Amino acid sequence: MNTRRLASLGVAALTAAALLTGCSTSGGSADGNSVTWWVPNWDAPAAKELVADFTKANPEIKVKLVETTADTLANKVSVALNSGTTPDVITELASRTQQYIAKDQLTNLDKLYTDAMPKSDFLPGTLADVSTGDKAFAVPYRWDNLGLFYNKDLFEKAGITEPPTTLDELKADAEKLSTGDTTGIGWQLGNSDSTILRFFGLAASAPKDPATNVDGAAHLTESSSKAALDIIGASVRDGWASKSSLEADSTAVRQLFINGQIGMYLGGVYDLVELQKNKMNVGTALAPGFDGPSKTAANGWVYLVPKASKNVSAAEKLVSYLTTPEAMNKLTLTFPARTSAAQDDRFHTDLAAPFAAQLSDHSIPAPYDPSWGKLAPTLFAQIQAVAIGQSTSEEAAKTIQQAADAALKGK
Amino acid sequence: MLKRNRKVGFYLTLPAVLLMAAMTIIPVVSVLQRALSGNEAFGRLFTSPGFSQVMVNTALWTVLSVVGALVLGYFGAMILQSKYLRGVGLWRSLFLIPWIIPGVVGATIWKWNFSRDYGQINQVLLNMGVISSPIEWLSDPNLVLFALVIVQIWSTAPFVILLVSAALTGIPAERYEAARLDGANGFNLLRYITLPAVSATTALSALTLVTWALNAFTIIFVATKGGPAGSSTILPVLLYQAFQTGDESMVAVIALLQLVLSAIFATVYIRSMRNELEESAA
Repeated sequence: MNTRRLASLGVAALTAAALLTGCSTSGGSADGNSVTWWVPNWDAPAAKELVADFTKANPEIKVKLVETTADTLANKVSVALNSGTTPDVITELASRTQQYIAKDQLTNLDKLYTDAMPKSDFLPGTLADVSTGDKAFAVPYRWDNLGLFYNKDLFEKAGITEPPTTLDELKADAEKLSTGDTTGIGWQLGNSDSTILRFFGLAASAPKDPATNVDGAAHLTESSSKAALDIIGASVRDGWASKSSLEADSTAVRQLFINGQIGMYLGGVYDLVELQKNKMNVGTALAPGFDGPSKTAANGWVYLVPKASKNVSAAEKLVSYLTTPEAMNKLTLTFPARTSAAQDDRFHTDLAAPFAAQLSDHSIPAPYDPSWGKLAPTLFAQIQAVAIGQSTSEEAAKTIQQAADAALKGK
Repeated sequence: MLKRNRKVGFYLTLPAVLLMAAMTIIPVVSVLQRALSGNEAFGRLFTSPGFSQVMVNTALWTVLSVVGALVLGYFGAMILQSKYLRGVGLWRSLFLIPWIIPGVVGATIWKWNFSRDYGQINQVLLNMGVISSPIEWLSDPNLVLFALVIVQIWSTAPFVILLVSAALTGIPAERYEAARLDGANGFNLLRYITLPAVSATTALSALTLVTWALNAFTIIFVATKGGPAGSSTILPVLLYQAFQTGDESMVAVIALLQLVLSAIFATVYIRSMRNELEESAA
């Protein structure tokens, strides 16, 4: 009898152990010489080369790459950090870093900022997104914002000689371009993050009571929201922006542009590679604003080392390597976060120049306060509501303001 | 001897019981505890301007997708049962494909099918001259939920085909022959023999489909993320949005609401299963 009881308990213990073992994920290993790095799929090819170089110089450290995707990254990182089963290094969006710092989920990486990597070498504003006080909890490696892409052939056909510099000109040009299967401009209204970042840039450039970013928190006003909604939402409703905007993300908008279905769009400099691959006769310019260039929200990508990492020391070694100017230059598709890494010719072409000028002279940091995340669904829904004619800009701006006030109060 | 066997049986099932309990009771208690500790979220949820639209969407989504899957599933099962059909195994395998392929893949395929500019559906309708300009399936607030219901029906109808096919196979051929001798036509055979014989299967299928519909997320999120302007937001999508914004008390409250709705249908499901077992035993 005792033997049977023992056998039963043994089965229970083994089953539980097997299940718990089976629950292990792509998180870090307890092996001190192994580092798991979650890297976005667009960085994966270059990351593999960098890892090969790193392991050649550090044969005692084994690096395992796990590819992530933009759509699922925020959720995946949040779940991993909350559960405590984490990889050792994560490539994550800079604007999401503060929420992890607030929960004490990240390793303080201040010691990585040495003479070889001084904080003064980083672009202005990049470290603010990842720091609390004077302690930095991540290392930025790539920074970018938005500029205007326009189709030179379509412009010529419509008799437009110069890219628009103000929103009035943008609207006039878009109306001229909107003939047959072509529409003047396209927006990424099928993707929440892309939509609200474009909205925020326009709201921050509003002529009256512009929106501001105070310590990472977006402070909107009804007039600034209305001004932005009058452009993004109303352009779709009024027909000078493509109806496809409502179902398009960044990739789809770029494809519409390549197909000649839209004449202009606001995008990141990383799109240049794909546009040139398609032999587009493309032009770039500063983002048009209400009275001159518009501000656009600048954001970037950073390396995090979770506090729950089992191999902090090896992870820090990998991050140190990845943030050398050479490695940073190799991995970034936009502009490197360190000025010393931006010497390569590809950052100084005529087509890249407006994006560099936009970044240095006309950018505003993307909000990173948790209140912005809470506001996001309302913003996204209200912008769409204006675009489909369900709300006016005034009504939507009022709803957004109520939600923004509530989010700032922490309700 | 019998007593000893019972004890052995008890200990052998104990690990599974404990694991099942841990995997079901702990999350349920956790949701309840979180929902009640953040009970201010009940007020916020019920008074939020979009809540009534979410509930209407959820009801429409559930009713249409369940009815659609049942009708299509019955239709498919009848076809598979037809004596004129050749290669039944091949057809059955083909019909099951939508149910087998991963939800994200299916949703992405349909997102492209419904695309205003690149979609096959618009292209076919334009070529046939049925429409003169592309339909905005996924960005017209009056159409989007119906378009997504089609996808849910497409992915769940094979389950009904499978269940109903099995039930139809169990109907003795003699019943149909006897009814024909009595002068029954096709409709009468369906009304008085086929449908009563598969009624228990229909009930079980319907209740499973309701549970799936109430928990559906992938199709909507991949295709529209609940938009435009909340036109395709149902409860699970709302829950995910609350999760994304870090509103944990709201997540718990929405999860509790879903739990209650699912529990109501689960109760009906279990009762109908019990009745079926009792009928079989009798």
